[in-house]
Amino acid sequence: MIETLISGITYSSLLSLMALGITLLYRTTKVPNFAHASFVVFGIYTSYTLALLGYNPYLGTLLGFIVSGIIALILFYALLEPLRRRKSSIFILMMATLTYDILMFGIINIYADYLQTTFKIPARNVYLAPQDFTLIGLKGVTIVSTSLLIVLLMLLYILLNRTIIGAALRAVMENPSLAQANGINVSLMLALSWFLAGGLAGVAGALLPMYMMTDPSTGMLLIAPMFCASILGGLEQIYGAPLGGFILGLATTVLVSWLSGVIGYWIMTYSLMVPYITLIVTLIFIPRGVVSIILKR
Amino acid sequence: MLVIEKLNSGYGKLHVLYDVSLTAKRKEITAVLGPNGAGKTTLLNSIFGLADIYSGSIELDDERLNKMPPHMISRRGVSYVFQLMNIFPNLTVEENLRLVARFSGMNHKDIENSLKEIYDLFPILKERRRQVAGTLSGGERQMLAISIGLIKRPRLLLLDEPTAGLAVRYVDMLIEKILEMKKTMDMIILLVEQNVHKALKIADKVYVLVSGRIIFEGTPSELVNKEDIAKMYLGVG
Repeated sequence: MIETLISGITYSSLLSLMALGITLLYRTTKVPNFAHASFVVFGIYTSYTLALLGYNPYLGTLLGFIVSGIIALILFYALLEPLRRRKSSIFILMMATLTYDILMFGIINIYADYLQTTFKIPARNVYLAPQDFTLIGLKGVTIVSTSLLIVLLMLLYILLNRTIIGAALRAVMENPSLAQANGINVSLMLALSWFLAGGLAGVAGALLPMYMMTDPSTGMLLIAPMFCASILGGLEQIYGAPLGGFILGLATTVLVSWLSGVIGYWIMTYSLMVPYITLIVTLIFIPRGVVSIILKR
Repeated sequence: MLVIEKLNSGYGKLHVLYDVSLTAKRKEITAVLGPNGAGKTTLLNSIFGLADIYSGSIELDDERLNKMPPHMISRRGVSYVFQLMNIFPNLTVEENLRLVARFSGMNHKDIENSLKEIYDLFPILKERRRQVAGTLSGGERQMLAISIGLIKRPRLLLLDEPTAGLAVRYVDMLIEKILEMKKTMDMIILLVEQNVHKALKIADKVYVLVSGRIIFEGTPSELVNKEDIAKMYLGVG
């Protein structure tokens, strides 16, 4: 059970990092970003490439942040910003992120083919757990993912609440028109939020191969849990994302594992349904997320 | 001085303003009046870079504002107080003011001095300074919105119907405050106002805009004497 709990905490931390970006983007641009799936996969292949080249795959967290951040920036400047300037609807912007995700999925597959032919390795089954370290009985990915989540949350808090750039970001989240009217470069602030969100997904992606078997479609499999965690926490509250990530992550791992002991092992097959059930329940009973209940109190 | 010459502007293919020319001076209130849909807000939007300018020029103290993005126009000393959505509702009153002041490049001392001036002008905001702005009453919100416009000590203040939807006691008070601002602060005030009687009381110069064209330019008393315009378009006289 302890092992399942630790695994659950690892998964929850990774999910929280991904959901954090989705919430951040929703707060700044109001766009549900489906390309988040690709941002995660670019992180996966960044740490995998580093591992193939003989480097420590954990360096992929830093490089994955930059690579996925840049992939997000390209999406913003190439598609979203021109559409925003044309005052396109949120629906159009959302479809643009979906289109970009499909395009990036193709590019990642081309890259996987390249790795496969160049290095003669199965580049569509990326699993780096055997290369992971252990410390005081804990897997490296557990220590690194939880520590990074805490550190990145603290940095995000400092950025948003203690710096002038953060103040500008908050202003853009609150009222973009007024922010612009008062000298804030809204376009630049939106670009920053896309870079940060992409970066956070890249960090999570870079760590994923240490936790589970991954491939180019991993992002697509995880996009539903990412959105569920974000909505469960509360799309209007950035810090709700980790809360949603932990509730959903632990429900998917620990709760399902416990239920398998009580009801039967067959229930494990249906663990993928947990995010969807959670999403439906949240949307019906607490559409503004768990954080809204806490804030009310 | 604000000088607008032969301005043609609108939104994409929607041409709203036709050959609009206007001048507004420091320490004066210039009011733009007209019926709904005349293009008053589009005029302010054009000055602030929020509308498409097809031809003509907009100059503030001999510096051309055409083609500048809004955040650059703001940094040139132009404040625009929107009619709606003009505060940061989840920040406190003082956070609203400090945030805008920080982005105008003011140093700490200037921010404190400017805050004091604002609180002297609107004492109720000092009482409410730790209150979340979204919980203020309509009148208090409008005072905060004007204060957000004033905190960076602009050269040009654009006011879009500041008294719209307010209770009578707030309308009178705000009109008085705008007059006080004119006397104590060295800036150009361009006022778009639906309350014609109130606007005529405090304005130094009046323009009447109808269907995107200026049909009258003069003093408030000259407008009142032009009975046809005053009656037909403004319901006064």
